[in-house]
Amino acid sequence: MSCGARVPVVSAAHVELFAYNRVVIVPAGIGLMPPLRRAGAFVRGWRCAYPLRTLDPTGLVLLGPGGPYTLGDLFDLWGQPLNRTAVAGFQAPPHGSVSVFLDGQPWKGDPGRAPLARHSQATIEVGAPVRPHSSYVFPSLAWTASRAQTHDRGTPHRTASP
Amino acid sequence: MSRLGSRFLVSALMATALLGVIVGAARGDGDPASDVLLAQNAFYPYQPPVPPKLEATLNALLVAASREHMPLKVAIVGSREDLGAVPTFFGHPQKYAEFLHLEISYNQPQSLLVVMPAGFGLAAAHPASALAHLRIDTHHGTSGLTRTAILAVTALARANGHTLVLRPIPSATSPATSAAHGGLPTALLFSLPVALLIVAGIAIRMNSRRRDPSRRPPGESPPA
Repeated sequence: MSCGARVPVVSAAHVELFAYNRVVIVPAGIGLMPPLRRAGAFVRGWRCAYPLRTLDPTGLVLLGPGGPYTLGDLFDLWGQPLNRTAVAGFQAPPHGSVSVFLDGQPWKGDPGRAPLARHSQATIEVGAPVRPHSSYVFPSLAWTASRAQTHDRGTPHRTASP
Repeated sequence: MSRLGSRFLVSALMATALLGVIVGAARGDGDPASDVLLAQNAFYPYQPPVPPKLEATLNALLVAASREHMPLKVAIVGSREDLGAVPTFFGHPQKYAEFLHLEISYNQPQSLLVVMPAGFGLAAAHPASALAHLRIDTHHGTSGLTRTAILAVTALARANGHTLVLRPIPSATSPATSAAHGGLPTALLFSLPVALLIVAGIAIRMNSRRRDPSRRPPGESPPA
């Protein structure tokens, strides 16, 4: 994946993360290269963007063209681990593991390989079971696309690797 | 299957501090407002976007309320898509207020006002009677809902003995609103016909000057 000044958004997915009965916020700014311009809970400006990115802390992940993408791709951009024994700094308890649900159904494979496709509802859990949501009502593509173009114009285009 | 638990709260918070992310309440997630309200005082609908002037007015009002020791969070829900994973709450503002209150009050009780086209919802905020005289503006989309929220916050503050200095509320049909929704600003809409009339007048005048020879009185010579 490369970081571009104009990477269009073609769809979105939603990711929720629970650790030991607590909600862990998937932060705004994943997949966006600093300097970031923040406004409240939202990121409004950035230098360049990867095809996977978060503009707000709601777990809404904007997906660019290409793919297929995985949860592992998202966590790589976040800079956090995601595997059977750890997720975002939280270790699975002894005899336990990190669980992933896609659209409410358990994903049996490696958590990092779980697909992150259009309108996926992904729930990641560690430490305690939480009833996963099976669906999510997404904002329209027009909204996501308009937000995705709110980058800092005039800044140099660079290509970088996560 | 409880989502509330504090056994691992300390370790979770420590891990979170290292990560730089927030650990919120565990009763649920999936509704955007529960995440956004941890970082700001108001949640605004996705579509159509609320004009920035209206957002700024409500934001300033909530800051003023907080200074008056009346901190309040406001969630404005215009459609099912503003509720993410819990769309069934749409049309049920009081139930959603109680649900959302549990999500955002992990640290301390959080006063909350929910505004939907169907009505108001209150949690840890009183009195509900303060809102009885208010009607939800459902004629101007998300702008109308935001204007209603501004009036509701003011009414709640007044009922609690606070007088908040309220900026003039931008109209739902103000130029900012129109421009934000892709239309022409009102001033331009009004001035455009006038400008066209002036241009047309000038054109007619110039045209009539070009025709001067034919319209000149007999016997008058043309200019050199």
